[in-house]
Amino acid sequence: MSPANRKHVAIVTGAANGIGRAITTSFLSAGISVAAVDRDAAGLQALTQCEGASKDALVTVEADILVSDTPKRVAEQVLQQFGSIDILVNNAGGSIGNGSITAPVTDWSSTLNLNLTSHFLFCQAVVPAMIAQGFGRIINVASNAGKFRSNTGSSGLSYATAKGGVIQMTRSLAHALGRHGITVNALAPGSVLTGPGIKEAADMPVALKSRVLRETPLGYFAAPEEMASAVRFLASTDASYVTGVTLLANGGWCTV
Amino acid sequence: MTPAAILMGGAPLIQQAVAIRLAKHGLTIAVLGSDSVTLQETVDAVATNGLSPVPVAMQCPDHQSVRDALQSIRKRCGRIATFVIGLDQQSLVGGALGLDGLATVMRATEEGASQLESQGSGQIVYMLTSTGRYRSGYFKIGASRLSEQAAVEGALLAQMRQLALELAPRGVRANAVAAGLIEGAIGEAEWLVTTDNDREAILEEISVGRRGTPDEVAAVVEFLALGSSSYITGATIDVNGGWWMS
Repeated sequence: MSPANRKHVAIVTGAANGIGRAITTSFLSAGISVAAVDRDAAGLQALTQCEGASKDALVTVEADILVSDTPKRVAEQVLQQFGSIDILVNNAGGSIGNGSITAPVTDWSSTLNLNLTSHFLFCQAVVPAMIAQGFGRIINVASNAGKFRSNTGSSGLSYATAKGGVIQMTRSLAHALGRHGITVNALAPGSVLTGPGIKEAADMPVALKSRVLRETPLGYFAAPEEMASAVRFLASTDASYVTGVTLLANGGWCTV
Repeated sequence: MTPAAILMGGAPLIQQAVAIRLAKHGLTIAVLGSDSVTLQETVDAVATNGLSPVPVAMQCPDHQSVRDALQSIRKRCGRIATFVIGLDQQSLVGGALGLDGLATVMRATEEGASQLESQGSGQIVYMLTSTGRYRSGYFKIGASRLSEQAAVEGALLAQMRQLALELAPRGVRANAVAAGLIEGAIGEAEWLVTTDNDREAILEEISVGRRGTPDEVAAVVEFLALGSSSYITGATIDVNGGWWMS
C-alpha cells in the first residue's frame, strides 16, 4: 500500500494539553497513530485514557523539546516503534520570561528556541524518513501574532517574532519539499480557550475582552477542537495541493 | 428532508468534483446556472457515482430567478447547508465577464447570503483563482480578459471578507479558495498551446511540480463548506501546489 493510503503515524509536540491534546485525540479517533511529546507527564498519562488510545495507537514521550537532541531521539523511537513518520505537528510553544523590548537576551533566546528552533529541529529529524517514503505532512502551529500582531496585545515581541519565523520557515520548506510529496503548512490560530488561554481570557480586563470579541466577527474565543479539525484537514491526503499556506483560524479577526 | 448544497458557477470539472464530495455527506445537490449543458453534466456526475438524493438543476438567467430557485430549494430541503459560488464560465470563455458578469455573481451571492442569514446558519464558499488574489501567473493572453477576471475575482474576495463580518453574528461563514493551474479546469486552454519547454518552466515555479486536479480543489471547498472549518471565516486558501504563498 502506498504511504498516502495506509494508516498514518503522527508526531505531535505539546500534546498533553490544549490544542495539542485536541489534535492528538482527533488523530486517534481518525485511526492515526500518534507519538505524543510533552514534558507534562501527568498530562501524557491522561491522554492514555482517551478513546482510541490503545498501546498500538498511542505512544507517549516525556521529553523537553528545548533539549536539542530530543527531536532526533523522538524520530528514531517513532520509526522503531511504528515503522514510519507521516505527519509532524509542531505545536509546542509559548512565551518564556519577559517578552518585551526590555527583555534580557536569555528570555528572547529561550522563546525563539521553544517556538522556532524546536520546529526546525523536528522538521530536520523527520524529513529524511518522509523523503524516503515520498510522502509527508508537516503542520506548524503559528499564531495571529506571527501573521499580523497579537489580537489581545498580550503576546510578547519575542513570541510574535518567533511565530513570524515559523510562517516563513513553512513557506521555504514547502517549496523545498514539494516534489517529494511532502506538504508543509502553518495554522495561525486566534484566541483559543486552552488552559493558558482560559486564564488569559479570565484575567483580561472586561473592556479589552469586549473589544477583542467585538473585533472577532464570530464573536467568541475558539475551542481547541476547532483548531484540531483544521490541522486534521491539513494532515489529510485531501490537502495534497495545499502547501506553503498559513491557514487563518481566527474567527475572521483579520483575514488578508 | 436533507439539507441542500447550492452550486453555481466555477469551472465545470471542479463543480462536478465538489458536487460528488458534498453529495457523499448526504446533501441534496442543487446546481444553478445559465447553461443547461453544464448543469446536466454536474447532475450526471453525481448520478453516475450512485449518490442520492437525486440532484436538482435549475436554469437561472438572472438574480430574481436565483432568488426564486433558492426559496424553492429551501422549501423542498428545509435548509441550505452551503452556497458554493464561482464565475460563470460561459461569460469567462466568451470574454463577456465585465461589470455585468461581476454584478451577476455578486447579486447571486447576496441572494444566497440572504437565505443563509434568514435561516441562521450555513457556509458560503467562493471558488476563485490565483488571478484574483495575486495576478495571472504564467499566461498573458491580451490585456482585457485576464485583467477583467483579476478585477472581478478581486472584487468578489472583498465581498467575501465583508460578508464574513456581516453574517458571522447570524451563524454564517464565508471563505474562498484561490486555485492555481488545474488540469482540465483552470488555465487549460492556455496550457494546451504551451510548448514543452515553457510547461517545464511553469512547473519549476510550482513547489509540488505539477498542476492540480479538480478534486484537489474540491477537497478544500468541502473543508470550508462543512463544520470542520468552524473557526475560519473571511479566509482565502491558496490551492496552488505551493506556487505563490500569501
